[in-house]
Amino acid sequence: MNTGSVQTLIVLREEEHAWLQDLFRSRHPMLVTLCNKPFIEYLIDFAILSGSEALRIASDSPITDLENYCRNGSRWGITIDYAHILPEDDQERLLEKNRQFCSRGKTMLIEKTLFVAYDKKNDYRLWLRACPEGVAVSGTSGSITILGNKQENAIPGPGPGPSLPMLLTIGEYYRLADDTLKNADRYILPGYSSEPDCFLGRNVVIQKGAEIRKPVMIGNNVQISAGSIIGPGAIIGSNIIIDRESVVSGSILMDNTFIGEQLEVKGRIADGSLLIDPESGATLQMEDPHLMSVIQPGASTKQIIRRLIHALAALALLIVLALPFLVLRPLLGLRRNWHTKKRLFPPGATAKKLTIEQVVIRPEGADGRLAIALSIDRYPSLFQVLGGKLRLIGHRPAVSSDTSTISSGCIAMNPAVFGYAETEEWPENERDELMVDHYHLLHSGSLNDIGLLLKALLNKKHM
Amino acid sequence: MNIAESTINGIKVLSLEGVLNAASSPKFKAYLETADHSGPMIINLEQVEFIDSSGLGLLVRLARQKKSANEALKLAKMNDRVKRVFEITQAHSLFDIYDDIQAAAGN
Amino acid sequence: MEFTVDTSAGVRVGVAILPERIDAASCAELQAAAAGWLKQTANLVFDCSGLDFIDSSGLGVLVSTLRKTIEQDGDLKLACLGMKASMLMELTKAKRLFSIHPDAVSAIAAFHGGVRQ
Repeated sequence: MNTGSVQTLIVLREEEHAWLQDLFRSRHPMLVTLCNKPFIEYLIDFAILSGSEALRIASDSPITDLENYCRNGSRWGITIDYAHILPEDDQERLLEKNRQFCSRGKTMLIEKTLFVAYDKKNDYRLWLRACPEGVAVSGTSGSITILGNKQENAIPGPGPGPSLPMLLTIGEYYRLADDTLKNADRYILPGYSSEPDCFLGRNVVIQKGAEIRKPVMIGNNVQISAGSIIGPGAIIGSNIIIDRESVVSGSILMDNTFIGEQLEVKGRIADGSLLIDPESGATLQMEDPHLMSVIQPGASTKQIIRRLIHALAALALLIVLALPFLVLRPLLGLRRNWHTKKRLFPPGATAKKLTIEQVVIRPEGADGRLAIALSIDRYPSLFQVLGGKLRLIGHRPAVSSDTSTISSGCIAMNPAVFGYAETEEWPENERDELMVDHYHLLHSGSLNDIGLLLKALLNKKHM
Repeated sequence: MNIAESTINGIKVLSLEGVLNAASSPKFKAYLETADHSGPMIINLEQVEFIDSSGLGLLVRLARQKKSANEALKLAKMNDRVKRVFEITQAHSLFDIYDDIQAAAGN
Repeated sequence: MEFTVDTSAGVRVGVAILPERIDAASCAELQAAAAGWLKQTANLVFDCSGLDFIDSSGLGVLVSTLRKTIEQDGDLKLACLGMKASMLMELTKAKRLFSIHPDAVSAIAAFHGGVRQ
């Protein structure tokens, strides 16, 4: 059976890495990023560097999100498949359960490990060939075990073998990220790097007067507003807005994070609205609306003008869309493709509530598609804009969920017919949308609103 | 659906072939009831093209029976289609799943 | 809110123990109380040992109280700042405005000589 091939078996147990799971609940620990690269990818890289042709992830718990991320491994040029084990299985039993996979040749068994420190310049194929059977590397929590004998006459290549750094606390995670950024040439890191210590993703907007200091890493879809200072030692994830005159240094911003105006993030980890001190592990929720912006004195007259402009624009839309509405509405009614949904907004809060009626039209038939393209579904709500109850463009409560947690006061105070999020292509979930809404609620003036409204009308995803 | 019976290491191996659904699971059930099937058992799922909730229900009930009798039931050589069903339903946490029959038989 | 006047440093120092929460709902109460304290002395120490949650409106009251004490040639010093409050103050850069002490005793002692540090 032993054909001399090499494969890697990664064992994941739910009980491991609980500290990481506690902090970053929304994703599997293996998908938590280190320097904008999920942990699992470092393991895949190492498996490939050691000459593995196949990789199996054996887990005792559902890992749907991880499977959806890795799929069959074709992205990396390695075959990935998945197996199930039970929590009580010991090493012997789990090897029995995966015997066919392991019998193809030499197997590298990676257990209780999030991260393998490697250097892409080393030849780990030589290292693996020279490894005798048994535990090859062990760290504070995990280990790499080799199954299959040492090849005769094999000599390890130059350079040390891999190592498993300490990674049991958020403080160790923070230091490892810093270390990885400083030793970026050892790893395969995401982003475009035209000069050392500087990685840039796609769609990064750096406004005039913003300063970037190396070493720094920036992900995709990032906006850095005027007067901000990013770095040194900043790891900025994807889908991030850093508002005016804020400082981010020695810090990690995980994906989908908004940093408000004039804030100072030094030596911290931020994930969404959660701010973490890596040394003490203390956390702070940045859900306070004022942390998103400074309080603007005299905003009330501006508010009145803005409301007026919204009402005028709504009136214009009501007139322009009157004919299409009068034609399409009865048609859709006949075809039972006009569903209204009443809801109270904001949800949960004790504040004064507003009844919002949302219309759902399925994009079925020419009439349905045309109605959606013309935003006929929003037509009845436009009257509420005239009455000043709704904004024309602002935060559009998601139709699908009543349970959305409205985290910020400015969102709760500005329900609208059209959402700012509808001007962008990238938002995938409600959290993404809230981020865009937040940003424009704090930045857009009356005139911008009109421009954004046109963008939302033309840029609707379903068109 | 076809059921082939063999013995490895003194352990009974049932190799199922075809579709395990509402239409075919009574056959499998009857098969299990007609003869004495006590003792450890391995079910080879390699040739199962499709499994639905009733087929899955049958395996789950069999697993419970074996467990209460303190006997082992192991599933082996699950293909991707069957694996998908086990994942969606989270049934995999109820079974010992092996990729090799010999290993399941402790050989 | 408990308020006492301490004279051990040779000057009148008002020591207030802040409540568990200072948010938009409760900051008006603190603001009113602080106005009363300022009539007694401009040298204040806020003992934050019980403070568990503060938001930006609460922070606003602290900053405005500090400004008033300085206008009256006094100071507002903070003692026993917890981790969360400390993080918020660092994030908003408010921490730089205050002199911060590990406990109320050292904060009171810092008023000795009457100069703002």
